[in-house]
Amino acid sequence: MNTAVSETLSTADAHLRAFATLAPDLPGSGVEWLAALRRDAFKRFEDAGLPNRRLEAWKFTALDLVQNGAFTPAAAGRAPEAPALPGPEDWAARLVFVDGRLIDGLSDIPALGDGIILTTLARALEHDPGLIQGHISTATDAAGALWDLNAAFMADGAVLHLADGVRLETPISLVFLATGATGGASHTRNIFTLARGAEAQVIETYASAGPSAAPAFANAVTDIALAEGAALTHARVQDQGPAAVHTARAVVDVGAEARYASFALALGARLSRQETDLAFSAPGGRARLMGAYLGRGRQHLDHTTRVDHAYPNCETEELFKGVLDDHAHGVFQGLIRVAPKAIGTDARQKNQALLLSERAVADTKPELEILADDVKCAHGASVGDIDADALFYLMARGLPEAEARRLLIGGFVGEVIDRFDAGALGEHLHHCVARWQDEDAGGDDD
Amino acid sequence: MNILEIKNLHVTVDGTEILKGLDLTLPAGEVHAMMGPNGSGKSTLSYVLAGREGYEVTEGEVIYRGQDLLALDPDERAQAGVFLAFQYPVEIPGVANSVFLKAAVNAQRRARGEDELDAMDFLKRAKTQLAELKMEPEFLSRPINVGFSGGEKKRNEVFQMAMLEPTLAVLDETDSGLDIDALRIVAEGVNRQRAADRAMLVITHYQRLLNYIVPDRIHVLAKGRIVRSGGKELALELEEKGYGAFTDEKSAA
Repeated sequence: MNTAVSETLSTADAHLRAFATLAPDLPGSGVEWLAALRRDAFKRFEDAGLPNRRLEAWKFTALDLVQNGAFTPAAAGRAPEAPALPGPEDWAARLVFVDGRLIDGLSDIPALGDGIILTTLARALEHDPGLIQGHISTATDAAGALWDLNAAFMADGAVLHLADGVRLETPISLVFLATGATGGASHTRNIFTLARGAEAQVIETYASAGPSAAPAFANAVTDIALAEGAALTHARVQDQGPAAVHTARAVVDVGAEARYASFALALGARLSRQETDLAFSAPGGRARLMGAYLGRGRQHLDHTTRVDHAYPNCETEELFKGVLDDHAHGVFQGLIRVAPKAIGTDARQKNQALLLSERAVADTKPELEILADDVKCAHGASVGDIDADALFYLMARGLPEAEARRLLIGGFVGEVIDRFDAGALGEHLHHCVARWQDEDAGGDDD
Repeated sequence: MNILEIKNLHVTVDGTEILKGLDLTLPAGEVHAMMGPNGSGKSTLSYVLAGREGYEVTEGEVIYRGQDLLALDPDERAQAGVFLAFQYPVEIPGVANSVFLKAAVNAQRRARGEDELDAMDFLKRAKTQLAELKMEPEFLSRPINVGFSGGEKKRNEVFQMAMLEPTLAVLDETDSGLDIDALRIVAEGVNRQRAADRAMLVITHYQRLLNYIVPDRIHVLAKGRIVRSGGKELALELEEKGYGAFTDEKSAA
C-alpha cells in the first residue's frame, strides 16, 4: 500500500516538474484559451492520477509500465537519418512525426487544393489558432486521465480541415515514430474537421525507429468532427517496438447523416490501449468501428470503445477480432449507450477472439445501456481455438497444417478488414496482417 | 492394379464401434457405389479415408496404391491423390475460394515435385472448369462456401475435384440437397473425371444418383459391414425392396 502511494506521488511529482518546465515552451503558450485548457487538464490529471485497475474502465489493463516514472514528457529528440517509413504506398500527403514532433525533411505536404487545409498542431497554434479552437477535447472522468495528460502536454500532430463538399480520394498518411532516445513520452494531438458533405481517408501509423528494445510511451489523441453528411474513413495501425507503451484515443463527433468508419489494428507494443469515444450529435449518423489485435509473447492489447446514441435513427456496427498466441492478453470493452430519445437506433457489437495458446487470455466486456424503446441492439462475443472442421477441410485438400492455419487466421482477421474498407486502406491492412504472420517463423514463446 | 484395398476395417467413434470388419477392393478405372441406410457407417468410412481426427481404427488396414493410407496425415493423403467431396462442405469466412484452391493445387504440386502454377495458369484452368460446371467466374472471389446454397456447395466440391485431379475420389452424399438439374451437372462433372488410372467411391443413400453416375459395382453397407455386393442392377433391387431386405435383422436406424 505504502509503496503504491509513494509511486503515484513520485509519478505526479515528475509530471508536475515537467509541466512547470515544459509548459512555457509548448506550442501555443501565448494563446490564452489554450493555456487555460492545458492548466485545467493538468489540474484534473493531478487530481485523478494515472488510471488504475480499481476503475471499472481499467479493470483488465494495468498501466504499471507507465507508473514507474520513466515516462515524463520528452524534449524534442533527434530524428533518425533515414528511417523506414511505414504506412500505405499511396498517399495524398505524408506527415512524419518523430517523438511527437513533425520532421519536415521526412514529410511530404503538397498543396491539396481549394478547401483543404493540412498542417500541424504547432503551426496552426502559431498562425491560426482559431482553426482548432473548440475542437480540442479533454477528459470527461477520472478514467480519461491520459486524455488530460495529452491535453496538458500535446506538442504536435496533424490538423486537417475540409471545406463543404470537398472530397479527398487518396489517403492522408500520418506516421508517428518513437525513438525512445530521450526516454520520454510523446503526446500527439490530431484534429480532423470535415465540413458538410466532405469526405476523406486518413491512416495513422505508430511505429518505432532506432533500437527496438528502447522503451517509448506514445499517448495520442485524435479529435474528429464530422458535419452533416461528411464521411471519414480512418485507420489506426499500432506497430510499435516490443518495449513500447501505446495509449491512443479517437474522439469522434458524428453529425447528421455523417458516416465514420474506423479500423484500429494493434500489432506491436508491450502494452497497448486504443480507445474510441464516439457520439452522435444529430440524427441519422452511421458508425462502423472495426478492429483487430494480434498478440504474441507477453503483449497486452486493449480495445475500448464507447458509443453514445443520443439522437434518433443512428446506426453503429462494431466488430473486433483478436488472435492471441503465447502469453498474450487481449481485451475488448465496448459500451453502447442509447438515450431515451434515440428511437430507431440500430446498434450491433461483436467481439471474437482466437486463442492459439493455452496461456493466452482474452477478456471481453460488451455493455449495452438502452433507455429508449423501439431500438435494435445486439451484442455477441466468442473466444475459441481455430475451428477444427475448417482446419480439416483445408488439410483434406492438401494444405499442410501450418499453411492451413495461416490461411484461416488470415481469413479470420481479413473478414473484418474487408468489412471496413475494400480500397487502398483495406489492402494495406491486409499487408500488415500478412507481415505479422510472417514474423511468426521464430516461434517466440517467452 | 488396385487403387484401394480395405481389409477387416474396424473403426470406433467416441467409444462406439461404427465399422465392424469392412472389406472393399477398388480397382483402377472403376467406380463403386456404397449404399446403405442412415447410421450404417457410410460417412464414417469417408472420414476415415480422409484422415479426420476422432475416428479410431482399432483393427484392419487400408492400403492405397500399395501404401498404408492410415499412416498419413490428411494433407499427405490429399497430396498422394485422395480426395473427399464432403457431405457438409465447411464455410470459411474471409478466405476466398481462389486463394484457397490455388494454395491447395500448389501444395499438391510441390509435394509431387512439380512446378507451381502461376496466377495466370491457375485462373485459366479454373475458368475452364467453372464453365463446365455452369458456374460464374465471380464464384472464385467469394469466401469458401459462405452463403452458398446447398447446390452451390456441392458444385464447389466437384469443382475442387476437377482442379485437383485426384487418383481416388470419395464422394459423400454429393447428391443430397440437389435438384434434378444440379444433379445432372454435378454428375456430368464427376463422369468427366472417370479415367483408367483413377477410381471413385460414390457414397449415397438413394439410387437416383446412380442413374447419372453408373457404377461398376454396388456395395450395400449395413451396421458397419458390407452385406451385399453386386452389379449396377443391385440399385434397382434396392429401390424396389428397401434396405430392410438386405440386412439380417431390422436396422435400428
